[in-house]
Amino acid sequence: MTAIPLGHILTLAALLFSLGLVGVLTRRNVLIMLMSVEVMLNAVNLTLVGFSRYNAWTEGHVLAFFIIAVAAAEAAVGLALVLSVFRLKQTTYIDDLRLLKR
Amino acid sequence: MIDWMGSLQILAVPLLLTVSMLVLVFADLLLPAAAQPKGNQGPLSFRDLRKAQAEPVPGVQRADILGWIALVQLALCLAASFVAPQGVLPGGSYVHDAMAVLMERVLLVAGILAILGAFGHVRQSFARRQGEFYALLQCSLVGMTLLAGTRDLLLLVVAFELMGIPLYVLATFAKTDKNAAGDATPGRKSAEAGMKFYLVGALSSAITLYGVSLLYGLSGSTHIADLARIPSSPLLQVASALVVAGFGFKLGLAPFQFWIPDTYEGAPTPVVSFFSVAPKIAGLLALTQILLGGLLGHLQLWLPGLVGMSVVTMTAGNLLALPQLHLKRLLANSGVAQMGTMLIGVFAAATLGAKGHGLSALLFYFIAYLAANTGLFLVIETLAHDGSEPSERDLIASLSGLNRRSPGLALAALVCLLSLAGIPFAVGFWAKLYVFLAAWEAGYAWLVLVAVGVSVIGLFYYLRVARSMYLGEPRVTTPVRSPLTLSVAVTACALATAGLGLYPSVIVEATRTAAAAWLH
Repeated sequence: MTAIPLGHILTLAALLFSLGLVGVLTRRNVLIMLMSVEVMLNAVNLTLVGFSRYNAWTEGHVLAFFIIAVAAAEAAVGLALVLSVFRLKQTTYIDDLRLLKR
Repeated sequence: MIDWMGSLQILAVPLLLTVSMLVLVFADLLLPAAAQPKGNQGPLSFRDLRKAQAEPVPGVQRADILGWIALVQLALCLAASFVAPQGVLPGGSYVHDAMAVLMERVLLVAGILAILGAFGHVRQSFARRQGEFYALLQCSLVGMTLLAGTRDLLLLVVAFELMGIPLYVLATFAKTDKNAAGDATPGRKSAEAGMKFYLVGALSSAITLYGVSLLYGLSGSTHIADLARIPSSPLLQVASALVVAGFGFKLGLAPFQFWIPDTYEGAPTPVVSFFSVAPKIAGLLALTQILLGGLLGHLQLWLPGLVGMSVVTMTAGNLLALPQLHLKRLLANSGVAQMGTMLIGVFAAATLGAKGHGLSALLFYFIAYLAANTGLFLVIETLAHDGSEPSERDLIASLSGLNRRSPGLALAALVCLLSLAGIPFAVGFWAKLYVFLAAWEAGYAWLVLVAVGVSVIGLFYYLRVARSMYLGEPRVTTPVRSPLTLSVAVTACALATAGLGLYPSVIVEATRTAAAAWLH
């Protein structure tokens, strides 16, 4: 079995990260923005695990676990925020939140 | 053989904070149970729960017990920072040196001021959820105190999120607020502020983490010091740009500062007094750790970009603050400008290292900024608490004629304003002077001239607020009423600002020792 070259993994991660970034910046539905952030964080994990596996390091795997935990905590808070905003305004679109004008 | 006791002692302050947070959560759980009226056995339906939430049980006076517990706990942690030994954790991921100790104390004082300032607000707006409020504040402080001594990317990432996630919740805490007319606008604003804060925070975390993952791949180690051995490459350029951009979002450096005024306007004011200072200090410190501790050898990769960001940040912050009528938005933009000025200290430290005074000037600036900025936000909180006209809540107009209503409060606000503007002899003047001197020494003369130039713009809006206080007509002539704890916090901030302005040498020595310990 031939191993997947590191370059392929990093390219995939970079593509995923860009996809997530574009998603956060262009989509207006908060739920989809949250999903895009998760895609970005998974790209981070893929990079870490790819580097670690290719070089037989261990810290990258550990860091990936921590990032999974952190992402879960962040998503929990994010969904709670979406819920409380929805209760007050019956919307999940960021453009409808404009009480705070500049 | 690992010295467990020694490690625990080195980590005393963050550990004690964690324990006090848990104690607070359990105290919150147990305290009302004792005062609960007898006779409602059996499982509660959801409707009952909502009813119980809506109407406070008569006769139950939880008062501010949890707040006082939290305050005593923070005071104990502050005391612990004086006895906790200095040292290095096995593995070298956390170093408890003079710098970590100093920053721990600064951050704990910020927490104490925020709790003192929050008593009245908590009682009025979310008395039922006060346990969570104080516990989340302490949770955030755990992350910040860990950040002060971290030398490892893994710990840095986790501590940074530990600091950030509770703050999103705290910003949204007033979601059930209504104003005097029963309109739910303040609550909606708070929810909106929290949402924006969260989205920016989550996005910036993802960007920073991607940068960190690339740095790890290049160096093969999570130790920040090992980043120094990375050979220069385009990938390193990308990684450091991602890290700087991610931190730029979090710290509100232009062009990523757009979310700051919105968040500050909507979030509860005592919370803003905390997160406009403490996380900014801890975050800038973490960025400094990565840039000076790891990437110092690749100065040309990040320095030009960051210098540009600093110039844009100072200019944009000051210009955007000029037309503001809303006090919290004005202070938000002025805070952005202050962050830009603090960055100059980082450049001086990067260029001259242990030979210059850049890092100690930066630490001094942190303390000056903490006293003046927290003081001003607490003055705004005092006025809002007094029940000013809903239409002019938090506006500059609400300060009008303050000197004739409460001269003491007006004087406190004036001292803090002068300090932020950098007028002698408030502490902010020395902070700016030290940073500018350090930068001048390091050869950034043009940057200093630009910084001085844009701080002149700052004078206009700071003095506009002062003029309204002293020359404006008061709408009501009664003195401002405020809870004792809030007055204590405002007085402490004003006294620190004025006192350290007259005797800056009191903390100069401490900041020099701390900076020297960090730079070796």
